[in-house]
Amino acid sequence: MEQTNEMMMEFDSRSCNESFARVAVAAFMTQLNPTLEEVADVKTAVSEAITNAIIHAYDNQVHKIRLECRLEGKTIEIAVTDFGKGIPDIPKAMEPLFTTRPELERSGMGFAFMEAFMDELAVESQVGKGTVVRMKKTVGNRSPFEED
Amino acid sequence: MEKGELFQLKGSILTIKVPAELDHHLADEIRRQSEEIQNEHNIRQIDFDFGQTTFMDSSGIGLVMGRFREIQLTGGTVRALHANERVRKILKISGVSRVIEVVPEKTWKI
Ligand SMILES: Nc1ncnc2c1ncn2[C@@H]1O[C@H](COP(=O)(O)OP(=O)(O)O)[C@@H](O)[C@H]1O
Ligand SMILES: [Mg+2]
Repeated sequence: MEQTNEMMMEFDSRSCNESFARVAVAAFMTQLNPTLEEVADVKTAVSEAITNAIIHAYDNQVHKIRLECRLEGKTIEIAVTDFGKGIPDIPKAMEPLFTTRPELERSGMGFAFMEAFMDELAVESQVGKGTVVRMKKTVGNRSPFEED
Repeated sequence: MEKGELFQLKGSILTIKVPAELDHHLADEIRRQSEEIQNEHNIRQIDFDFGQTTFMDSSGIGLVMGRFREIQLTGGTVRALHANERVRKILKISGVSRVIEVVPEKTWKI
């Protein structure tokens, strides 16, 4: 069986914790020996999920965000959970450019980035209860000769 | 964050020195300060200098597109300067590089 490693943390939904969360995940995943680009991809996806919890789920009020990571083989699995307002229409929310907060200069590209930078993305949500965003990425898939 | 470190005003050109990590936390602050400057001065061009930037997420896209929409109303322009590979990738995926000029970090002279 392949070795696994897990971590979980919970922190306040303050925007200063966005960088803390993505740096923590980046540090945790160094065990997979990822490329700089793979780390950057995961950091971006984590940043998107955490930012969404802060802005959309909690409306900038301070509550808890849970961040879980699991390493198995060459794969990192991440779950970001909030206990906020929930998403009424998930497919709609995941459409590129869709945002409910244009006045905050949101670009509506958060889910599109999570999708682009991770291998898998799944969203579960219940209105009034909260949202879980699950993401997965396997590192070291690319041949060193492959180009973008 | 001091205004003087981030913003440089030369005539009608406002240069924004984007910090190392442009996320929602910093994008909000830059937006507030930038709007203040835009209200006080007649800005015709905004240059985002990404020379120091190693991280950007979709909040950065919101910041750039927000400035673009505002300044476009008066015929102004927005550019992204010294954009490294990562920044260019983010600008490309989000479609921003189709509407504003993106200048890479280095231009090799042959
Ligand atoms: N954790 C969440 N809780 C509630 N609503 C959310 C959450 N995440 C995303 N959403 C909804 O999905 C929309 C799209 O999210 P996203 O693609 O990240 O774009 P943006 O954050 O720029 O609005 C948001 O505008 C919001 O309405
Ligand atoms: Mg978002």
